[in-house]
Amino acid sequence: MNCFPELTYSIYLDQELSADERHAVETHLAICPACRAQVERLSVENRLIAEALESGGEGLAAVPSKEGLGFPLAWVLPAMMGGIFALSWTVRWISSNFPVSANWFNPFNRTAILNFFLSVAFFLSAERQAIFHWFGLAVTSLAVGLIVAGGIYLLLRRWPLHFALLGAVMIFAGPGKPAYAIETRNSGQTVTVPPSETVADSLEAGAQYVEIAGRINGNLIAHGQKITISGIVTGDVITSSQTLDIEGTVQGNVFAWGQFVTVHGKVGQSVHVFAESLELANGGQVGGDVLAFCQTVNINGNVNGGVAVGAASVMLRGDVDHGVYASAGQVRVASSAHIGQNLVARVNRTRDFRLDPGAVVRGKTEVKLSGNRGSRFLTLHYYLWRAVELCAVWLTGLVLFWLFPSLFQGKLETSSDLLKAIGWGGVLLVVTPVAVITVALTLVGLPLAIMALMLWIIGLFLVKIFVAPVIGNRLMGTVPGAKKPFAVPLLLGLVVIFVAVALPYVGIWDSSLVTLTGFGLVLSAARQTWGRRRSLTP
Amino acid sequence: MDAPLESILRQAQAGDPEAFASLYRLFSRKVLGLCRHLLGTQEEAEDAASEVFLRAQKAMNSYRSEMPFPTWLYSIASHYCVDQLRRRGLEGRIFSGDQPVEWEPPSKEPSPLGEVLTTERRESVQGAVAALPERYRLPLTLRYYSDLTYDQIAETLQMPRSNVATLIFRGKKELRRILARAGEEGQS
Repeated sequence: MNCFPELTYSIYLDQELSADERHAVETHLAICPACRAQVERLSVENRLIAEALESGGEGLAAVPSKEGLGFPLAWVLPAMMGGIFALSWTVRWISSNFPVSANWFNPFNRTAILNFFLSVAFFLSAERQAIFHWFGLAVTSLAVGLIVAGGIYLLLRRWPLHFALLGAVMIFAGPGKPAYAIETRNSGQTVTVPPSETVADSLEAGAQYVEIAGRINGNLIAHGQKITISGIVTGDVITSSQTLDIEGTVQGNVFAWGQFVTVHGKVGQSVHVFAESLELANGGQVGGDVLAFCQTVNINGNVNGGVAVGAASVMLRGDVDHGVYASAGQVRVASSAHIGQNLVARVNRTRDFRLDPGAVVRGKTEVKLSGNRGSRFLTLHYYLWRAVELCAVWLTGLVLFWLFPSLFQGKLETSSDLLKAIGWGGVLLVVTPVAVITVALTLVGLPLAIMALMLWIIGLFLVKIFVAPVIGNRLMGTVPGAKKPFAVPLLLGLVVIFVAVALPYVGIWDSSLVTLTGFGLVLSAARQTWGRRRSLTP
Repeated sequence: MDAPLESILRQAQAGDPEAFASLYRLFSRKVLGLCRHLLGTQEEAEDAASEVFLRAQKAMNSYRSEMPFPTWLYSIASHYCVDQLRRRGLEGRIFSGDQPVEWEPPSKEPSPLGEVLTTERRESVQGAVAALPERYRLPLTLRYYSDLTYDQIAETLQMPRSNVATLIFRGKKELRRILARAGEEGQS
């Protein structure tokens, strides 16, 4: 008689064969030692599985299922690599074919990104009120974004994360250029590049006096007491110095921190200054925009882009091709000035703004009065916007909870939990920007750094979502571990937080406390999830 | 606690909360374990186990002594967990509906698991079971953890009885493969 297949023996051992079948199997087993041995092994195996299930059911939680998207791995990997290559190629193509006029928005251009962020930082500080009001809407859009991102995540979460990360790295590495070589010159007294010399690479110079009379084919990064550029720098200039004089030509951007910044010569792209005074001298020229935070700003030369300044006093005598935005103690536009687009001045009183006869403003002139507007708590507008913001944050929280419930598992039951959360929150709060700056120093790392920074900034706004349910549950007396409602405690907690951070004087402390605790909670939740995954890997 | 199960069951059916609490004490660990095997995470398993006991309490009167009580309870639990899994929207590929599962020709494959069951070995078997795709893990768990029959498993997973036998057998083979691979990796 023929032997039965192994499947039949498996069914036989599970006592699921019909009486006839069982009889046939047993008859065969009586005469076939090989099959008897096989059945014996199968029976041991059944016992092993039962024992493993038995002890596993009471000990460890199961490892999350590692099923893929239902496709064989061998098939998906090449497809994914192909996709990454195609994406990388597309990015490179977009990057090189980006219209020049929209280059400030090109996400693959390092200078554009820096310009963009500096502009955002500027408007954030100058137009904080307006931006604050828009925040409610921004959070709502964020919620929509999260839903989309969450959908993608749900598709990908059964997929090993490192493929996605690898993809991201390849996308950014693809169009990346090799970093410039940098030459370094440091000296106590003077670093000079004489007129006859050409530095082939970027130059990093540190000395009391830095004088660039020759040519630098790259960027100039300099720090010292006085920096003078009378020659040519083909890349960007980044300086930190008491005095910066640009008499020659800078073909790229200027980023300057210091006391006095003067531009007599030519800057090909934009000028960003954080200093006591900025002067664009008569005859000086800026090819891009001027962004400045200074005590005094004098624009006597030509600006081909726009001007945005925050200063105590602003004087405009030269030509500005685009618009001018000045938030200042005093703004004066002299008769020789010529502004190609709108002029917006934010001053405290009407008399702080002066537009001399003869000055040309092609667009509209608008004077906004800032200053004493009465208490914000007295306006309906304020409460309306807070309500919108509250709803938006609440909805975002619900979506987050729905998508990533494990983010909310941070525990805050004892005061030591709280201290720990605050401590870790502080670490995360400090470590992230430091890491971002470190990573940003490498060309390839810059987009990653920017993504991390954006996540961090979004985090600053969103962390209250993680603290709120803890407060809400505490107030409602919900027992930890019980089947928890989420929406109501979240709303309750958010209301408490919104009131606490709006209080005069103590609000800022409440806000810091919430931020630190929230970051700590997220970190602890992440560590729990990560720790559990790791301890379970067989 | 020491009272025989039948009398506890009778009291519980009469609505005695103490008796039901005893049932909970007797079976909660096992039910929790089952839910954990089926659902994969501790949190979900805890939620599921409490829901299962709630349902069992409500349904106490419909319990008939022809079926052993544990089997009845585990089938409530497995129905609930399978529902949860279906709700996760994954059933499309876990349970391939009613299509018969095809028989694979035998090939050179690792032989059944070895006899010696050291602690280390048991842990690796546990890991391998947890790493099984759900289509195998579910029938294996229902069969060897909850001792359900093929018919009960077929009803819970809504598939033909013949598929249950095949899936259980294939699950074992997959388990052997995972362990063989882990063994190779461990040696190299």
